Amino acid sequence: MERNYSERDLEQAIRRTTPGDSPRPDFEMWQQEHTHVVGLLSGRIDESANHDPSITWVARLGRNIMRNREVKLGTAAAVLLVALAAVYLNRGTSIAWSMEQTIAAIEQMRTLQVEGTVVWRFGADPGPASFRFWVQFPTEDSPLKMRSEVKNHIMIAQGDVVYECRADTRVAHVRHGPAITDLKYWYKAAELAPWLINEMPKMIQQYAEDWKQEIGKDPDTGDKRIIATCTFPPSNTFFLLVVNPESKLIEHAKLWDNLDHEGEPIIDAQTLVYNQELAAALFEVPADMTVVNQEQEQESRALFNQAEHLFHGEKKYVEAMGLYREVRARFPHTSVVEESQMMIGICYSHLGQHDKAIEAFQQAIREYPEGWAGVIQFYLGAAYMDNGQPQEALRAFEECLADAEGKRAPDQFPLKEAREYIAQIKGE
Amino acid sequence: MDALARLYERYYAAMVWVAYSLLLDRGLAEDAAQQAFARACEKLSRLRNVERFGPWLTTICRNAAQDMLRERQRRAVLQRTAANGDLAGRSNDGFDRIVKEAVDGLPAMYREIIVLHYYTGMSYREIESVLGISGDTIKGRLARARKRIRIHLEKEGFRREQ
Repeated sequence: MERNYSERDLEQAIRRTTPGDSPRPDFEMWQQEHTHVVGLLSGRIDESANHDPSITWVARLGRNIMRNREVKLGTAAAVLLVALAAVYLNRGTSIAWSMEQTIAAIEQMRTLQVEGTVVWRFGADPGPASFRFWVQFPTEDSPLKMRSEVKNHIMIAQGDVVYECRADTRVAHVRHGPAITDLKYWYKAAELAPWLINEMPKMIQQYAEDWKQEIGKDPDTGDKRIIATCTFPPSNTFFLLVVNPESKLIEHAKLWDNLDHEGEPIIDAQTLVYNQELAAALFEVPADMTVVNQEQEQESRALFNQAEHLFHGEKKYVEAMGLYREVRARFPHTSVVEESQMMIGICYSHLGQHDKAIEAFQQAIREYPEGWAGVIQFYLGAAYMDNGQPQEALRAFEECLADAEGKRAPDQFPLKEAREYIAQIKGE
Repeated sequence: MDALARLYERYYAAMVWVAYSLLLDRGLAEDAAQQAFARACEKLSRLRNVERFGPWLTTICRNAAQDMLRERQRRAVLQRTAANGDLAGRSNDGFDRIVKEAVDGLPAMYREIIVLHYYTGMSYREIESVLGISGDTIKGRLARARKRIRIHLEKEGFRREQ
C-alpha cells in the first residue's frame, strides 16, 4: 500500500530524527576535563605579559573570528609583493634599505606578474606544481584585476566578480556576485592562500620573529641583494625575501611550512616582473568557456523540481522525462544534471521501456563516473533484470557493491537490494 | 582563555553534529567534539589561515570521530542504540523510522549536511563557515541527500505529493 507524504512532512521527519536536544557548550566543564591543554594555553598567555607577540595568538584568533568582518576584495591585492613588503612596515634596517623605500616603490607599480612553484595538496596528483599570477592594481578607472593559474584551475577576478574556471572542462563558475565577503574562493582554486589573504601579512607584520637581514649575492648573476628572513611561529612559517637594493623591490620570495626552512618551500616565487604591460584578455574569461552563474543554477533547480513533481506527485513519467531532458539541454553544467540523467532512466523503467532505461543509465555512468555510491549501478542492474538479461544485471549489481563499498551501510539501499538480486540470479 | 571560551561556545554544537554524522551516537559525538577542541589547542601553531579556523576545527573533529569509530569497531560494539528507541514511540505509520534509516544510510558527506542543516537550523552561510565548502556545493549535496532519502522512501512504499 502506498502512503503519501509532502516535502514538509519529510523535512519535519528529518528534524524529528535529531537525537536529543541541541548540544550545550559547557566551557568550564571542558576546562576541568582538559587540564593539560588549559595549562598549556595558560602558560602561553601568562608569558604574553612579557610582550611575546605570538603568545596572544589564541586571543587574536578568537577576536578575528568573532568580529566576522568583511574582507574586501581589494585587500586581495595583498599578493606576494604587497604581502611580503608589508612585513617590513615600520621596521628599519641596519642595511641601506628601509620599508618606506619599498612601499614607495610598490606604489609606483601598475602591474605585477609572479611565476614559480607551489606545493599542490589536492586532487589525485598532489605535489609541486607551477603557478602563474598576474595583478593589475586598481586605478580610478579600473578595478583590481587578478588572474592565477595552477594546473587546470584558473581564477579570474574583475573587481567584485570572481570566476573559477577549469581549463579541462572549459566551464567557468561565478563564485560570488557583487558582495564578495571573503577570499576563500581564491585560495580554494589557486591554493596560494598565504600569498593572497589579507590576514596573513597583517599578522606577520605584527608578529613575525627572528628577523635577519644581510647582504648576499644572487646565485645566478652575482649581483648584491638584500636577503631578509623571518619566521611566524603561530603558522609554522618561514619567509625569505630577496630585495633589489637599488629599486627596493622584491625579486624573489620563498615560504616554508616549517620554522627551520627544511626541505623544499611550499611556495617559491621565482620570478617577479613589475610594470609589464598585461593584455586585457588576461583578465577576461576565455570566449570558449561556458560561464555558469548563480541564476542558472537556480533556474535549473526550479525546472528540475517541476520534473520531480510530475514524476513523484503526478506520476506523469513522459512529461517528467521531458523536463529532465530540458534540464540537461538548457543547463548542461549545473548541479542537477547528473540526477536528471538518472531520472530519465528511471522514467523509462516506469514506462516499461527497459532497453532505453539501460541506455540512459549507461550514459549517466559514462558521463558522470563518480559520486553515485552504487545507486546508478543498482538501477542499471534492475533495468537489465526487467529486460531479461540476468548476467548483465549480475555484473551491474556487483559493480554496485564495489562502488558503494565503504560509502553506504551494508544493510541499506542499494547494497541490501543488490545482494538480494545477486542471490536470486545465482539461485542461492 | 576568554577568546577560546567564545570559540568553544560558537563551534561546539556544530562540532557535535559533525561528529554525530560519522558516529551516529550522540554521547560519543559530544566526546569527539570536546576532544577536537583539545586537539585544536595543541595544534594551534599549525593553523596557517585564521579565516579557515572553522573548517580546520571540523577536520580535527572528523578525525577524532574516525578514531572513535575505529576504536568502537575494534571493540566490536557494532550496534548503536541512540535515538532508535525514541523514534519508535512517536512513529507515524513507520515514516519517521524509514526517514531515519534513510538519513543514517546516507554517505557521511551527505549526512553531515543534512544534520547541520536540519538538526541545528544552520544557514548555508553558517555551514560554509564550518565546513569550508561553497554554498553551491552545500545546496548540491543537500539536494542529493534529499533525493536519496526520497528514493529510499519510495522503495518503502511512500510516495511524495505536492
